[in-house]
Amino acid sequence: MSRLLRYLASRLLWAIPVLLGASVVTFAIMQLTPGDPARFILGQRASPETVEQLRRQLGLHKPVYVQYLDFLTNAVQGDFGTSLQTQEPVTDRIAQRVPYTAQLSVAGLLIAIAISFPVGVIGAVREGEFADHASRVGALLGISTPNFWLALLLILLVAVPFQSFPIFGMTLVTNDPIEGVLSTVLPAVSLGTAQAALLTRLLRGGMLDELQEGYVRTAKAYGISTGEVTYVYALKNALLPTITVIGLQLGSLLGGAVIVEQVFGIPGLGRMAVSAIFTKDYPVIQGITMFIAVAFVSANLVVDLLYAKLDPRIDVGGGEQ
Amino acid sequence: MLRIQNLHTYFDTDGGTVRAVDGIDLEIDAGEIVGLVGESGSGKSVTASSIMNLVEQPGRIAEGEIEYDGQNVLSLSEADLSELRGGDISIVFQDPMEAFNPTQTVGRQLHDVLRSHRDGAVHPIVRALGLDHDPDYRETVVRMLDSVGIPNPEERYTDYPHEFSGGMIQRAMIGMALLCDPKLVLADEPTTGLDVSIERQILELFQDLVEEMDTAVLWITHDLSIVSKLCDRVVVMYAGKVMETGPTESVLSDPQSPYTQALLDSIPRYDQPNDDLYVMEGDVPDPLNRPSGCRFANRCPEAHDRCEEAHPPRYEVGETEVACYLAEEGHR
Amino acid sequence: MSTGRRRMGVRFRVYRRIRTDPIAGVGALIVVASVAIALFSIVDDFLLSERMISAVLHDPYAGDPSNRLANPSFSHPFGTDEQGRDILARVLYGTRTSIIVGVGAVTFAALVGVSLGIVTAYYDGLVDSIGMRAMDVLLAFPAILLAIALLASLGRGFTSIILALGVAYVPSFARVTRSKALSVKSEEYVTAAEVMGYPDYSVLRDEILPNCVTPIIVQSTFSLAVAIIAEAGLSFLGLGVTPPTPTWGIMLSTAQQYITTAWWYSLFPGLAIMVTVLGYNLLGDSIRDVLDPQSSDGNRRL
Repeated sequence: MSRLLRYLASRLLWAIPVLLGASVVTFAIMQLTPGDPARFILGQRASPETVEQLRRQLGLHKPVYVQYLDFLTNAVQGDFGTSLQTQEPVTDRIAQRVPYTAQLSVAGLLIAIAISFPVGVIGAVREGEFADHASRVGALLGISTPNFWLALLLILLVAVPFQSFPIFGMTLVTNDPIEGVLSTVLPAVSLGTAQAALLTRLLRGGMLDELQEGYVRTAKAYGISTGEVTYVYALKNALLPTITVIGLQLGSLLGGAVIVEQVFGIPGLGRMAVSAIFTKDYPVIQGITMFIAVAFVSANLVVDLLYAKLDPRIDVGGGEQ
Repeated sequence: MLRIQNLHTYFDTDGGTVRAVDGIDLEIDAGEIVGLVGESGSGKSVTASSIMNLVEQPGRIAEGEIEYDGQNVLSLSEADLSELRGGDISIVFQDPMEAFNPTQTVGRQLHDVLRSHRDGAVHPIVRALGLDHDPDYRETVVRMLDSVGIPNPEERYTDYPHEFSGGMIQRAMIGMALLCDPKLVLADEPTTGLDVSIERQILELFQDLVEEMDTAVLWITHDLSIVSKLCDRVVVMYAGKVMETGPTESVLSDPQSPYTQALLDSIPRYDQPNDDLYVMEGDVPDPLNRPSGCRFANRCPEAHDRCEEAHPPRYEVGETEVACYLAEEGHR
Repeated sequence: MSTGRRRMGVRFRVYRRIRTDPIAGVGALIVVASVAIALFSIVDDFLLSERMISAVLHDPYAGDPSNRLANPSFSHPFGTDEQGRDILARVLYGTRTSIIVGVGAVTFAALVGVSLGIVTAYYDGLVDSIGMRAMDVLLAFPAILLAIALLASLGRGFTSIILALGVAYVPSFARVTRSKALSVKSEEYVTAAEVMGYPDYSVLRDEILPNCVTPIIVQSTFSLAVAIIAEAGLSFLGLGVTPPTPTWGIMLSTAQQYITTAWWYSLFPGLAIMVTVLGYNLLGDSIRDVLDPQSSDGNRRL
């Protein structure tokens, strides 16, 4: 256990500077906007005095690094200011939307895993046969298909003929399980297919690598059954790097969710981010960006810990080689 | 006990078919330690893999018979082969660290071998959940780790391969090989890469075990000094063929094949420090394009016309057999 | 010099693979075709007074109110859109945006990322820690989100998108290059150059860089594939380049409104994206097999 705790400590040591850096980036991006936010809010015809008043109110007269520190201190307390559009606290708005994006992303990930694991493993075990070729072609098509196009195709081919799949909005499974699942299926498939394709390729490659390793040959030479060697020894070792990638893929999932939410009108973070751009609601944009960065880094921490638990070779001394 | 007849093991590569083992005969009796000597590429490791029908794509056993205890190994079913492998016959590999799964404890891996042979295969899910673990088997493994000279065997059972040193992991490998009381152990260069002192310990280990359990051993090596210390008989291979075979003493003191002689000459002698190192001229023939005559002809200091025609048959000279025309002519 | 020899080998091997392997051939064909169509569209649109495409097909900008949302037919193989414009012509013209943004973003990402990768690999220590930590920061954001945030401040337009996507892809190039550079830097020819007193920048540029080329090429094809999809996605969201430039993303975005009445509108632009990206992925796969044979994708823990 102490090995894991030490590993956790070293990963935290890594994560905190990264999150700090992320906050700098988030803050900096907003600073890049040309023009004066106060004037933008008040419009062209506002008097210079009103603009100046708002500037003071928003703290825009302070030097940049002070503004950043303000931003940071507030962010750490979970305060991202007020939405320019709806006057609600940004944090509240985010909290409203998170469940939807979470439901979509988790469902997408589950579908990706459910598809990729069997297909990837079978492809490696039956290398060169039809099943393998078919899975490789499928995977290649999967990574080449834009998720929003897949969404449109699914709407066209599934939702329209079979009326039970809603094409707008999403119900949370906590509210209504059946309706929740039905409203999540098509978006999740659109989202998860590309991830599934990527994971399939990865897992297949990993399995093929493992099956070449010395211990596989040894196990066979000692009469251990192929089933045991393939599905216990080799598979576990092939899954390890795959797990890490799944962690990284969470980023792509969240990115993909932005688009899929748009297609299906899902009231999640992604859709809020997009509309915030059009309404120039900077506090919201900053809030969502930081939130997602934090979520992503935390998820990767969990994944790293999981990996370290499963792979006894991981040494505490260096998280990054 | 083990009889190999006219074994041909080929590898089909893009450049052509490599005849790694090109017609060899070999016999091992119970309690014997036989040394299989040759340079890299001579086919000695492939011979070992062939014995238990472990040759993998793109290799295949093209011809020949391998008889163990009266049964033809090459016609055994997968189930019977699984019983044989690690059971009656086991193999010790050259690179023991590679032979173990890095994410499983050493003890667990030995346990699995024992369990497979006593209880058979288990379903992957059962194994993944660890439900197949048997404390009696664990005890047997710990005792074995102890008898191969691993200190603190109880604790070492739960250690991972990377936590073992080179010498220790090789002992663990030997332990795995002996776990199911094999009648024959194939040792493929088990001491290459180990310190000389550790090497000596391992050789002693083998000697003790052979004495105690009457196990036959096929010791594969390129190192003639080991052969002279350990082996009762020796088989000399070159380019896929057997050049000479016989009792160690006879072969090493009075070699009938020029190749064996050249091998002996190549060993630097500490009592003759001023000699230049003897190096055999020429190169091992291209495995894709071997000569039709004697394989060693292009490097042999005593080659003559006859040697180019066909690879020589086996002649008996006293207790040794040698594949060299010189034997027929009563030379040497 | 070892560097010169290595470079010729790369080009030759890739070329030979394309000639012999049908999959690589198809990929290369698609890639070349997409670039050719893009160039043609640029030339046609901006340089010629009369668009050639109008002669063969239809003017991509000319709407025909009497022929809105028409089914695919002989004269309009992909049908028409809600303004009566020929979809096939617009799809062909759409290639331009995708390719320009893709190539631009990847070039930017490569220039910055490769330099970073080489420098951090060579100098190690603090430089390496800071550099890689910076990459981690960038990677903490999903690429699309980062692009969106950047676009929020930079506004729309070609340069903004290229910059936004380019920044998002810098880490991939940095990692891949750093990985290769780490193994290259311990090679003999590098030590030889150092010992002979060549200045650092020369060692980096002449010895290390040329030998890192292979994984960079592989990464470029894959990043291009991703960039094309990303650009389409951003256009779909309405954050892409401004109209009237036709882009595949915008077409699909409009198509959604008419999904029940005009299936062809949703199908063909997306098909164009898929086929193009497939081409880049096919080529990337084959090139990787030839130049950088590792059975699994390069997403291992670094």
